[in-house]
Formats: sequence, C-alpha cells, structure tokens
Amino acid sequence: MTVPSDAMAGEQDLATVTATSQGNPVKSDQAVLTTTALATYSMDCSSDNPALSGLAGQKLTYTVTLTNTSNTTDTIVLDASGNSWTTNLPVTEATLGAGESTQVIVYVTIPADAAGGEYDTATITATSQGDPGVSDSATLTTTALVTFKIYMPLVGNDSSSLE
Amino acid sequence: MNAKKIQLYWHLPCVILLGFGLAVLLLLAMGLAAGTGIAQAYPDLPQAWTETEPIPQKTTNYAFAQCVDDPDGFYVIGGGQAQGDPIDDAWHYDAASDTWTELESLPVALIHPAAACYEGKIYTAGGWQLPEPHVTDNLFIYDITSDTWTQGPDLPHVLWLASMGAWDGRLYLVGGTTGVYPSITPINHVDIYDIAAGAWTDQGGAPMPVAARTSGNAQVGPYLFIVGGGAISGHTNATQRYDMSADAWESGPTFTSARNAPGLAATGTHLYAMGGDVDPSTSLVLTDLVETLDYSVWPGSSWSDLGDPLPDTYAGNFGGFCTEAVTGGEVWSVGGTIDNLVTITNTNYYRSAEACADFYFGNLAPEDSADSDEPGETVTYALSIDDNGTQVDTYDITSSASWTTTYSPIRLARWPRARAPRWSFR
Repeated sequence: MTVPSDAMAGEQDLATVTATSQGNPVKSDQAVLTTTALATYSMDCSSDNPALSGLAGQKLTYTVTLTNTSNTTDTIVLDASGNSWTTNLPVTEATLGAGESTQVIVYVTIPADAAGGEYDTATITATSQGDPGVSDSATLTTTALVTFKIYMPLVGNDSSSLE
Repeated sequence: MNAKKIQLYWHLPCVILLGFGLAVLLLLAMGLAAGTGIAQAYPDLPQAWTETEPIPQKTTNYAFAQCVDDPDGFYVIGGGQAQGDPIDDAWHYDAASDTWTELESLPVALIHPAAACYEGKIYTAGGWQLPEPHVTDNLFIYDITSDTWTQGPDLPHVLWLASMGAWDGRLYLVGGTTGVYPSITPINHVDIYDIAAGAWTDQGGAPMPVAARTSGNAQVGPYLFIVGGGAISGHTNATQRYDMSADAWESGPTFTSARNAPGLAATGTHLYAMGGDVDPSTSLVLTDLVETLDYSVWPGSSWSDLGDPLPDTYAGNFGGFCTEAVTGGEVWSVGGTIDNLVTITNTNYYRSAEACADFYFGNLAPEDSADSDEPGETVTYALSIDDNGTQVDTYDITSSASWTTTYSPIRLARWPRARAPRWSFR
C-alpha cells in the first residue's frame, strides 16, 4: 500500500482484503491492513535579501523566512555560525505547523572599525527538533561601505590688506 | 339363604371387580416393564437418532458418495437385497428437504461396488453381480447433470468390498477383495485412476499397511479413512488413513471393537463408526454400537463409545454421511441389514454431531496487520491463506482502500491446513 505523498503524519488508511473461495463463493475471509503515514521533517530557510551593506558601526536587519515543509508540526531551532561580526537572533526557536511559515529577524552589526569593502558572512541554520538530522540554512553577507573623508583646504581671506 | 351365603354373594362382584382391576394393573405393569425394557436396551438416552424419510428401496452393502458441491445431499447406489440379490437402483437424498430422488439405474445390478464423486461425476467401481455370480472389473461413471451412466476403462483387476476416494483429479480404489464367498481374503492394493487421462495407472499407490475389505470408509479432504473391516484372518482393529495427496498411509488409534462392515461418517473433527459385525468368525453378530474418534488430534486420540447406540443392530449401512441441513451438523446411518443379511432395511437415521468438514474455507492471516512508512513510500504486507477446506481451492482477492494497493497473484492452497506460500500485498 502506497502512502500518498501528501499524507499527513499519523494519517491512516484501512485496507480490507477479502479472499473468496472459488470453490464456494460464500466462503471468504478478511484481513485488515492498517497503514499509517509517518512524520517526515523538512524545512526551508531563506532570505529574500541575503546581502546588505552598511556603514561601519551600523546595525543591519535581515529577514529570514522559515517554512515547515514537513507533514507534521515541528519546532525549528535557529543558530548563526561562521560569522565574525556580531550577529544576533532575537528569536532562536519557532514552532510551525505543517506548511506554516514565519519570518525571523537577524541583526548584524558592522564593526566600527570595519574597513570599507570588508564583509562578513553569517550562516543561519534552521534545525528540526523532530529530526535533528534535518536542517536548512541561509547565508547572509554583510559588507561595510567605503567611507570617504574629504579634506577641504582652508583658504583665508585677509581683507585688511586690501585697504 | 343364610347370612354367610348372602355375604358371599354380595362379595362376589367385588371380588370380580378386584380381580379385573388387578389384571389391569398387571397388564399396565407389564407394559411399563416392556417400556423399561426398551430403555434398558439403550441405557444411553437421549437416543438422539431420528428417523427420516426412508430410502424407497431397501438396500445394504451399497456404494455411496457425497459431492463437494452438494454438501447436504448424498448418493446411494446399488447394493443388495435379502438373500444377496444385487440391485441397480441409484438414489439421491437431499437432507434439507428430506426427499429421495430416483436416478437412472446402474447399467448392472451390483453389490458393494465402491464409489466416489469428483467434479460432477460419480465413479462406481467393481462390485459383485449376477446371474453368473462373479466379481466385476467395471467402472461406471454417472453424470449428475445429465442423469446418465457411461462405462469407463476396466479396473486393473476384478474387485469388490473396496473403498474409494477422489482427490485432485484421481480416483483411489483401496483394499477390497477379488474373491467370492467364502474366499474373500482382502488385498492391500491401491489402484489409481487418472480422470483426465481416462486410464488406470500402472503402478498404483502405496499398499495398505493392513489389508482390509468391507471397512468403514469416509473421505475428508485428501484423507481416506479406512476403519476396521475384514482382514486376512478375522477382523482388523486397524484405523488407517490414506493421504491421497501424498500417496502415504498413516496408522491411527486401535479400533478395539474390530468391527466388520460398519457405517463410517466423518464430521469436521470426528469419525463415527456405526454398527457392524463384531464376530470375527464366519457368523454375523451385529451391533448397535456407535463409537467416535476425534481425528483432529490424529493419531493421539482413541475410539470411545458415543453412548447413543443406533436404534437397531446394523451392518452394511456404509453410507455414514455428514450433512448440516438439519441440525447444523449430523451424521447418517442409511439402510443396511439388521440381521444375518436376511432382513434388509430402508431406514434413514440421523443424529446431531459436529459440523461437517468444510469443503472450502480460506483463513486469511494475519487477521490484522499494521505498518507505517513515509509519504510516497510503499508498505508491503505478507498475508497467507490457511486452507482448512477439504478440497483444492483457489481464491479471488479483493481489497477496499483509499490509498493505492496492489498485490501479487494468489497461489493455490491445499488442505489440510496447508499454508499457502506467503504473498505480498502492497
């Protein structure tokens, strides 16, 4: 019996199998097969705008979208890794029903001394609590903008000399 | 007239009345005694044997058969009348309606041919016939649908007083004798007839462990039970059964009453040996004894007195049929002789018993199964059929489910309790 690909976890189907004698068709017996769909865990972790730039010392805000693509409710744990710059995840856990989505905020602070063009990469990993072997990630790349300093010559005007 | 005489005359009517009353009481007492005598003859009440419509023709030592597609009917073919005159009558009895139907007569009047039913035909083999007394090697085939007899290939040898079963396209003719009285030494042959080929096989089957004739015999599935009967010397106390599917003999519990010519009925679990001759000498001493054997625990059980004898002493009541139409399970004693082959009967008795062996029954196992898998995956179940019926059978498989189900082709299953190879149900 094939479990439909869209079956929800715990969904069941009963197959009543009947064996009927050809010799005497009134004689038959039945067996019941109960098939249950197991939970499968999967998710999608992505950001529509995974690359942002800012000035040194600036705190940038990313939006990461989490989608529970499994057939059952799952709690997804978020973690940031691979980053050098300060990266904060105000929300590190989200419980989503099958097919549900949510958006989480990730803050990345560009160091004040970051040179222009310097960048940092943070990997935001979403891990299933239902099946810890299942995860997905989004990569956020933050770039420090170049800061230009314009030194203007100070030109004095001695008006007394004209007198 | 003096006072004494007057008193005597006055008492005379009283004396007469008293005498009459005593006589009535005596007669009543005699009647009660007679009734009690009946009860004493059959102390094992309730005497559950019930008489039904008698077979229209008295007969004993007849051939008999039951067909799988007619579980509540049976056939009585040929047999003997008083003084041993063979008859050619053929009858069908329907237990549900308690009616006998006369069939086309046997081509030849025969005493004690053997018979078996297979796929719409009744095969009647051997027998003893007149006018020139001799044992025959005839095979007559009765077509149930057309009510006609044809003649098949001759037996490998003359034979009568034998037993016969049919299984999986073959007839098995077992034991019996080739001689005539008083030289009726039994043989241990098993002759096999291939129905499709229309021929008797050259080799035959495995010989009987104990040669026997006029045995009680009944078929349950592939087993042909042979109980008692006349042996090379006296009567045999052997309970034997021949597995026609394996050409193998098995010995069962000792049939201590060692009767000759009993009726033998088989229900789904028990054998019933009814009546027969208990004297191993040449004389006949008939009995009303009914013994049972629980063959479901073969060979571990033993014969025991049912405690409910036949209504009379019988022998030659061979057709110990089993039907379910009357009480849900009953065995039958039909015809036979109640004395030394002088008085032949047409009685037809039944007694409630276990249900008959199912001709067809498939026990699907396991009854409940449960499994699980992820969406998109296929769960495989292994089911099997325990075929507890008595006939080779095939099964149609159907299923009702919302999810997609498929299954491998069903295989043939065989009795007894043979488990069909497991088949997968996806």
